[in-house]
This record gives sequence, C-alpha cells and structure tokens, in this order.
Amino acid sequence: MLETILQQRYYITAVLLFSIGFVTLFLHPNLIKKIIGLNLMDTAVFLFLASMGYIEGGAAPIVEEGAKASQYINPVPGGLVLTGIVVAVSTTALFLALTIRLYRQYHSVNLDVILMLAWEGKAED
Amino acid sequence: MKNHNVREDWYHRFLRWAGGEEPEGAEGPEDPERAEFQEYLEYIEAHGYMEFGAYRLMRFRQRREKGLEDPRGSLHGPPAPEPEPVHPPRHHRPGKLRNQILLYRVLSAVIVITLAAIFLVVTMNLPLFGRADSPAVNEVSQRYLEQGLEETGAVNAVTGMILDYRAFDTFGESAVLFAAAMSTLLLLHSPKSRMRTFRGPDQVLSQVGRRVLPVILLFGVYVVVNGHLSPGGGFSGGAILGGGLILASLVLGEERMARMLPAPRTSKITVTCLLAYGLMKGYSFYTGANHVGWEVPKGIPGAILSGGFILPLNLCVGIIVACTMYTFYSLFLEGEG
Repeated sequence: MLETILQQRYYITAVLLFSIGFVTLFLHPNLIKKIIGLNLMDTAVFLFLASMGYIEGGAAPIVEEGAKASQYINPVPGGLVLTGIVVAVSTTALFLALTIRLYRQYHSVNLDVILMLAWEGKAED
Repeated sequence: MKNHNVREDWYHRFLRWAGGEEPEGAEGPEDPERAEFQEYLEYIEAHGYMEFGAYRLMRFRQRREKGLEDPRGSLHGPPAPEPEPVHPPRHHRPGKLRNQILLYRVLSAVIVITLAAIFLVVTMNLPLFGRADSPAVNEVSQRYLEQGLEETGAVNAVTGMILDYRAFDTFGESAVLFAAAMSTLLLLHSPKSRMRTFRGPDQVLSQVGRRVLPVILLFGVYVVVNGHLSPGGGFSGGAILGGGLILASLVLGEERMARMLPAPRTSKITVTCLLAYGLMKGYSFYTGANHVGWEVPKGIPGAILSGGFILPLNLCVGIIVACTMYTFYSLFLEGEG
C-alpha cells in the first residue's frame, strides 16, 4: 500500500491539486480566486497527462534514424498537454475580461456582493 | 434604469456597448458616479473600510426605506441628502437566496469530497508510474517514434506529431487563441479610452531591460525556427516572443509600442498567419490524400530546411501566439485605466 502510494505520487499530487482547485472554484466568493482555482485544475490535468507519458529511463523524443520506440518517452501526452495549455490561457484571458466588465458594472469582484446587487435590482421588478 | 425614451435598434446598442460605453449612468456635466465615489471615500475615512459594492447596497437600502426617491433610479442617480451612518447588516440576505447559497455550499463540498475519493481509489488501481508496459504506450506512439522521422522529416517527434499527423488539431488551437483575443478585444477595448501617459520606469529596470530585450527576442526566434530539431516549437517560442514584446512595452513605453504594433495591425498579422497555415496544410492534405505527387520535399533530417511545411507552420504558430499574448497584455492594461 505505502509502496503503491510512493510509486503513484505524481497521480496523487494531481488529484489533490485538482481537488484544491475545485474547492476554490466552487466556494471562494472572489472571482479572481475562482479563476486561479480553475487554473489549478488545469495544471493538475497537465501534471496527470505528462506523468502518464513518462517511461522510466526514456529519453526526450528527439529521435535518431533507426531508433527503437522503447528508448523514448511517449510523445502523445506532450502534444495533448500543449493543446490544453493553449486552451487554458485563452479561457483565462476571457474570464478575466468578463470579470473586468462585471467590476465596471458592480464595483466589486466579490460574487456574493454582485449576487446581492443583482437580486436587489430584480426584486424591484 | 435606462434612459432610452426612444428605443434604439439592437444593432446600434450593441455597437455602443462593444465600444465600451456603459449602458446607463455617467452622463451629464457632473458625474453622479464620481460624486458617489467621493462620498464613499469620506465614509470609509470615518467608519473604516468596506467594499464599494456593499456601500452602494447599504445606501440603496437606506434610501428605499426613507422613500426619498424612486428606488429604481437611486442606484445610479445622484446621492441622497444625508443618510444616517448606520452600519449595514453584514450577513443579511433575502431568505430564499440565503437558503440557496447554503444548499450550494453543502452540495459543492459533498461533490468535491466524493470526486476526490473516487479519483484517489482509481489512482491506486492505475498502471504504475513509469512502466513501459502501461496501456498508454501503444502502437500509436510506437508509430510516431519509429516512422515519424521518414514520414514527417522532423527530428522532434512531438513537433512532427502536432504539425503533421495532427495538424488540423493545431489549426483549431490557433483559432481558439485568435477567438479568445477577439472576444477580449470586444469586451475591453473602448476607442475613447486614451493611452495612459507613460511614466518612465525605474532606471535599473529600464537599463537592464533594454540590454536583455534583444537576447530574449533572439532566443524566441531560435526556439520557433528550431522547433523541428530541438525541444520547443511554435507555441513555446511564441510565448517567449510574446513575453519579449510585453517587456518591450514596459521598457520602451506603451505609446511607442502602440505606434509600432497597434491592435488592428496585430489582428491583421494573426489572420494572415491563420490563413497561411490553413492554405499550407490544406495543400499538403489534398495532395497527400489524392496521391497527386506534388509533395514538398522532406530534406535531410536534422538540417534547418527540412521537414516539408513544418518550419513555415511553426513560424505561423509562433507569430500567432506572440501577437495574442501581446494583445492580451495591451488590452488588460487599457482596461486598468
């Protein structure tokens, strides 16, 4: 059991990071910290994928002519992580821009205050 | 709330909104929002800090209780004469909403704990870390590694994979970056916001930055151009180039950079690169799939001019990433003002 935990430490770290990010995303009222939590979740997924592709003793996949595949680590998760990073950057920028628009409207980045203000406006209708 | 006596058609309202104009308030010679903010500053001087949103909510409730004016207009209207300085009820919310928020908190805690427990159990049963016999190492990666060199001509297997076998995936990624840049532009760009006057940076920062800047840009170009030979490629090199552009904007001044790379120009460059990418990749997929035979020569593996279209594709991706990073930076700087 303990040996398995030690062997799978990267996966376990990824799961813990994912949970921390998830809790932050759900429970923190500050919008900026919600975005940070989302980024933590992204990072956990990248860590999981990258450690999935590692093979013990494998070299970076800069291949030479006539080499066997077993000398190198798996290149497929590297490409997937690349895709993920780009999408994470794009969504983060979009969320931050939306947060700025919300701040201009309500003068607060606290989601509770924004909810209250929006609720007050709705109750008058 | 809105002072539209004559209903405008939605297109003009959308245009004004996209231009950064707030749909309500902030009109007339004296700015009521500014006056309210001045009052807020005086209030926190006297009573200690509280958030501006909470302050406005408190004022709004006070005014509604007194019935001094129409409460619908008062949230953005001129401030009421003299409210009693009562501390706001801190945790008061309308009852239904409070119950919903409590339910939400409990539910999300339960969901997170359940998910984490499931993931941990699954983790213990995954194939062991670093083993060569794990199911993730299958015939796909074997083919990429063993025949990628002669099929794509790229020494770097990851670049050969993302710019040859899975090139349309990378095209979609570049399109996602472009779409994010355009939506940020739509959300934050306002033509009437003037460029902030450049406050000269710290002397040390300026001098060091000017000396480091060419090295950073050169390294970015190196990483992009050598993408098929060594670790790196369009995305990482483009990020370095974008960082260099941001540093240039910090050191040389935003106005100079805005003259060199205004937002329309970066958009045009990005669109041109996306089109070039699509054309090149469409050409190679078309000729390859139909066995036309006009394939681009692969060259000698390891030479700088090898790998067919991979070098120009890497250049396109690098320019797209660099332009997008710089666009994000300049837009958020503008939104700050």
